[in-house]
Amino acid sequence: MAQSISRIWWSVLLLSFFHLTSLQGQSLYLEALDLVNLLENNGVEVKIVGDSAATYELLKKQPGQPPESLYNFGSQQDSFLLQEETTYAITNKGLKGIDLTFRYDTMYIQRSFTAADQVFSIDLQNEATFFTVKVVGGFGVWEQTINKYLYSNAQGIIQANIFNRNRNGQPIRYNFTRSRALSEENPFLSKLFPTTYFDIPSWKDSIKLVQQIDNTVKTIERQPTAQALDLLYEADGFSATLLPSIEQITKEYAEPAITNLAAAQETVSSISASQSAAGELDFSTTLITGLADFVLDRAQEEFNYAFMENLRKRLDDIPELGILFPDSKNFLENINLPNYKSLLISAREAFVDDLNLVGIRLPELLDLPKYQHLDTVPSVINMLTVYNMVDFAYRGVAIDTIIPLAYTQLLKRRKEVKKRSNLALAEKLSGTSTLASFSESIDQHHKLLNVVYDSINLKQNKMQAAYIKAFVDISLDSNQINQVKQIYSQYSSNFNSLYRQIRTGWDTTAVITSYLQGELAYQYILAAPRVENYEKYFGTLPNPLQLTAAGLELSDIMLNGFEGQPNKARLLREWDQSVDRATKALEYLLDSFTPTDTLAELNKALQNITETQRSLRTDIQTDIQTFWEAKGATTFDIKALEYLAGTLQDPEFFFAERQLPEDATLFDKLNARRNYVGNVEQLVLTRMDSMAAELKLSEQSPLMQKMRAQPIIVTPLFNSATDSLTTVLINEAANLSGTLSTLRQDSVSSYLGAIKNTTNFARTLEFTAHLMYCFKGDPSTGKKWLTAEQFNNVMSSQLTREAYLGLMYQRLSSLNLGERLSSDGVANLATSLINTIGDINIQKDSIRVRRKRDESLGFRDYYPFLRATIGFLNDVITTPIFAPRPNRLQFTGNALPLTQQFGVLRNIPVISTQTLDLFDNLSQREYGPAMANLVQLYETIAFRTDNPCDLISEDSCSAVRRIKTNILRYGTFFAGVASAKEPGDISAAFAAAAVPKGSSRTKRVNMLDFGLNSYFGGSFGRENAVELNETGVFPLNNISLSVPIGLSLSFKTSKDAWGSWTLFAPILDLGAVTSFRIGDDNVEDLPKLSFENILSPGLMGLYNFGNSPFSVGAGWQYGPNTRTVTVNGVDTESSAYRWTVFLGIDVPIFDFYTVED
Amino acid sequence: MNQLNRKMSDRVNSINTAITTKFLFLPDIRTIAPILGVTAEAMQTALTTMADNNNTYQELLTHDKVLVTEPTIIKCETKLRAFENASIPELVATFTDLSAFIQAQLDAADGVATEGVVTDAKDNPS
Repeated sequence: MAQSISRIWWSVLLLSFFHLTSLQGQSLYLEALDLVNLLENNGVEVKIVGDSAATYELLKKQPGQPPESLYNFGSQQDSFLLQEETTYAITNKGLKGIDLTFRYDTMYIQRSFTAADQVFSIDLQNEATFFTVKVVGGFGVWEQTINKYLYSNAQGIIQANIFNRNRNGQPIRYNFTRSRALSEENPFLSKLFPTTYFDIPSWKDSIKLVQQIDNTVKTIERQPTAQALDLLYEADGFSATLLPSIEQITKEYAEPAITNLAAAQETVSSISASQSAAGELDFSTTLITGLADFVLDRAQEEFNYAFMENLRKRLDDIPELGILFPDSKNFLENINLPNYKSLLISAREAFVDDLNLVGIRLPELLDLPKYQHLDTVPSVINMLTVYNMVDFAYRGVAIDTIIPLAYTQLLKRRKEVKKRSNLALAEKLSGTSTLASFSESIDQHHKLLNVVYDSINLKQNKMQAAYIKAFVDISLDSNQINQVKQIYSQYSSNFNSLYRQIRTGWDTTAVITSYLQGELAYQYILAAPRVENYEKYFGTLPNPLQLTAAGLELSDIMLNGFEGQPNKARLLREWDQSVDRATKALEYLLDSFTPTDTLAELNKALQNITETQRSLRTDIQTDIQTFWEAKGATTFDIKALEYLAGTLQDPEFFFAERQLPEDATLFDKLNARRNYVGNVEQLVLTRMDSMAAELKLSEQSPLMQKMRAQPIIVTPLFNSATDSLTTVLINEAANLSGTLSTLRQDSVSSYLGAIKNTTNFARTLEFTAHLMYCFKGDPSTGKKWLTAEQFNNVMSSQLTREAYLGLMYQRLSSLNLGERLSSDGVANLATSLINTIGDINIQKDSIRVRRKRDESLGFRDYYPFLRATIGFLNDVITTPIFAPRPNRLQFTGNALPLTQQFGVLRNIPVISTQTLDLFDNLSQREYGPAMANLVQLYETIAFRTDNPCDLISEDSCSAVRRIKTNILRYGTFFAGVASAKEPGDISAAFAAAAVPKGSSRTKRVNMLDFGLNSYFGGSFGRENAVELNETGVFPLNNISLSVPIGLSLSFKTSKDAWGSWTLFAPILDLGAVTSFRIGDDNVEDLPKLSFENILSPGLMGLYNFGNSPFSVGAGWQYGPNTRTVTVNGVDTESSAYRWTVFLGIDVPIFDFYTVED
Repeated sequence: MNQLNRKMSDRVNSINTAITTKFLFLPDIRTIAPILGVTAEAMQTALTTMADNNNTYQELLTHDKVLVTEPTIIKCETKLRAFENASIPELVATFTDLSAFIQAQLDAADGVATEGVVTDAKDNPS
């Protein structure tokens, strides 16, 4: 698998390389400067109004005629939307007239006023239904009322071209334009573009400016990730042009060993020299030292041999070791083990090669069958991704290319995982009734989609035909035809684009059902037979499972949409609505050309329904009083009727209307009201029917009769037939999607985490790549990145700062990570990135210098870039960038990092640090620490979480631990030998790995422990000399230094016990020779130093205190030597023994056998 | 709707879209007609008829009353391309041609409706 991953990476790399040479791109920095230039070139300058958080005004100041004295605006809050009231008071005394153009959606008002008095005000008043433009001036009052529900609240522009006519009657223009900018929710751009423009030479120019700004923002916002990533692939010194071949890479990995061959030989020769000298023993050492050394040396030798034998066996037994250290394995398989010492010199080369390559070999573990399922485990996927990123840098790939590459790689990986998940699900579902019923539902959904599609298509056709007829209608004048064209162009881009989206992949919906059933879609195929497709369909018998899996994938796309796009059902609804709007707009427009007053009709209808609502309410109350109370209806029923009457009160009534979307038209509101009243009427009637039945009435109440005679028709007047069908479709798609997701959860849940993880990680990388794109330098300067100086320049001016950060915010927000970005978060990330870029630039310069000097460059030289890139990725993950539930432009909440949104990212900082350290250590030939990193990364593969036994591999917990211990143990040994510079290092390597280390802790934490042990402490005892008891000297008490050495068997009484017990059989006691006896003046001070002096067998029971090296115990000990007592001038000798109580420090020498808990 | 009918329906849709889009960039027919050497009334009639025919045809396609064949699609495709590339003087010929084409399809559909036989004789040599 690792090889295939590697192949994919290379193909991605090569592709990216081809991109490099052809693509150039504008940087965000230049876009921001262009935006500012655009404003300035239009004679606009920035004026800050109020504090810095308040809005800016973009003004062009006329010399001698400051605009603020010319126009006095009533409110800074006014919005372009027709939902707010605004008064523009024009207070300039010299003003002689005003030409007003009010344009909104499809509606125009154009008036010209001249004034006797020079004071004007333009008053935009907003009421529930109407919108009034009122102009007050010396000429009097002019007022135009528009029913705003005739027009959707889409974008539009209000322009007022205000003339000041001079003495000669020539107009002097002062214009203002208000526009709803796309960027109004952007905390930076909203400050910069308050949507008001003054004194731009003509309103056409001002519209053009607004459009240019909107276009810039749109371009930034909608630049696809792929394109943004391409822009990052520009070639420079570090780019993929330096891409080495696979052979070169392999060579590079082994490089440290080759370049340090001389050092290695030196070490080897010193090892040989030490071996020749090793035969000389220093016979001057004392017998005891000699004995101890002999025993220890012999023991060590035995251990070394056993270790080498074990190593050979383990390399065979444990496939993980074989994969990580293949050269060592080969070498050791072919040697005569007893000669291991002399062969170590040659083995060293194999060890070094293996260690240098261990970094790239780690992912090969996943080739082992038992790990093969792990590539669906989020932590493993994250590790592999981070690992690959580091690996890329190790190979010298450009840093800014790594993130986009990793992103592409993750997307590919996700596709693979999805495919496997679908195959696994297909296998589980194949032949089951669940699949049959799901397939049946999908079929029905597909059929309904087609029915709705056809209806909307017909509708669109009719609408377009109506436009064609209007275009060629010779009864309309040119101005009217232009208005038709304008409306058409306004709506057509929307429905055409929706149509295209719907058509994309529509055909695939036709094959889903057959595929789900594991069959080719014969009906579909046979409908359009083509020779060139014959082989494709009938070449080989298709695998039913693969077809079912493909069917599941296609179902997913149909039900949930492709890559975050809306599903077909939703697209159909949007299309339907778009076609409806275009149809209505034309109808209204054509109506407005004829004398028929649609507006009056609508208002009449509105009036009618309002009257119905009010009269129904009164009628219910009257009916209660005049009929139901007299008939003895229960309080419960009467209150129920009163309650229903209450629902017809005005506030509740209007509530129904408020539920409608913002762009609801008057017709929608009319329908909402009709439906509301109609539903209440139905409830009243049902209640009254049941009351009548209960009271056994034969007659109907007056209201019942009235309602039956003239029922309110609930069917909406203007509702489209397809509207309810699209709702059915959307609900159906949601239900089926739920079913599919339950099936996945039940059967292939392990894949779901992986898919989610790859998606989220990919999105993070995408975000990072876009962020990096924002810092792309000016291509003309040849700088890849923005320099710190340029950045500071941008930041130092308010205008450029808001433009730059605003565009950046717009770009990042358009990635739609699910939460709103906080302005602080964006600013912090910007700072972090510019620092990273600064670091990289410094390193880059130093590398350029070294290149010029023809110095060779290695991993160490690139490492700072790598560290910076991964560090920046970690910054992106951990910097709080989301503002939870913000109120429009206020970001007061606690910002949250990406890990909050995508929890699976949490382990990335840890994994990336370990991976970086591994490669860093390997490059520095710090093999020991590298082994620790390796084991940590292995744990990521083997363990699901930090909990040691939350396994993700198929091994048992202890098996995984054994593998881990073995990797560490043998890896450390290889590392020790590989790094050896003198003979002592080799011995140390053996000592560290081969000889089992004793630790007092071992016998305290493990259930059972058997080993060679020593204690160091004091004993108090009573000594007996068997044959000297008559002398009166013995028994005697003694306190002595005690250093017994012997075999120990330790055990714990329970797993949770604090300390442990030891049965100790001392053989020697070095302390005994130093004992002195209390009250014994007749015994020689010290026995002679002989073997007998230390031989001291016995048996003791000890308690080992937990969490400390101290032990206490009691027992019996013989010797250590015979006692000689002189009584009456006669020396009498006797062997001695003693009962003793002992307290001392536990000093284990070797552990032979240990049973862990 | 079967696959080929849907394809045809797409083409009809495309024709409408192409015509409407084209008209966005053309002056009104009072200006075009003289260039084309026809009266504005004649041009209005031609286009209105075609738009209505398109609708009828589209509706019949939806109900599978017309069984479309590949040659029909190809022919329609050719007409569509001709229309998209047509200069103003060529337009009227294209309009007339399109009207005739759609009318022919409708006639064929009539045959289907009355005789119950699926046919596409004008475009299908067999």
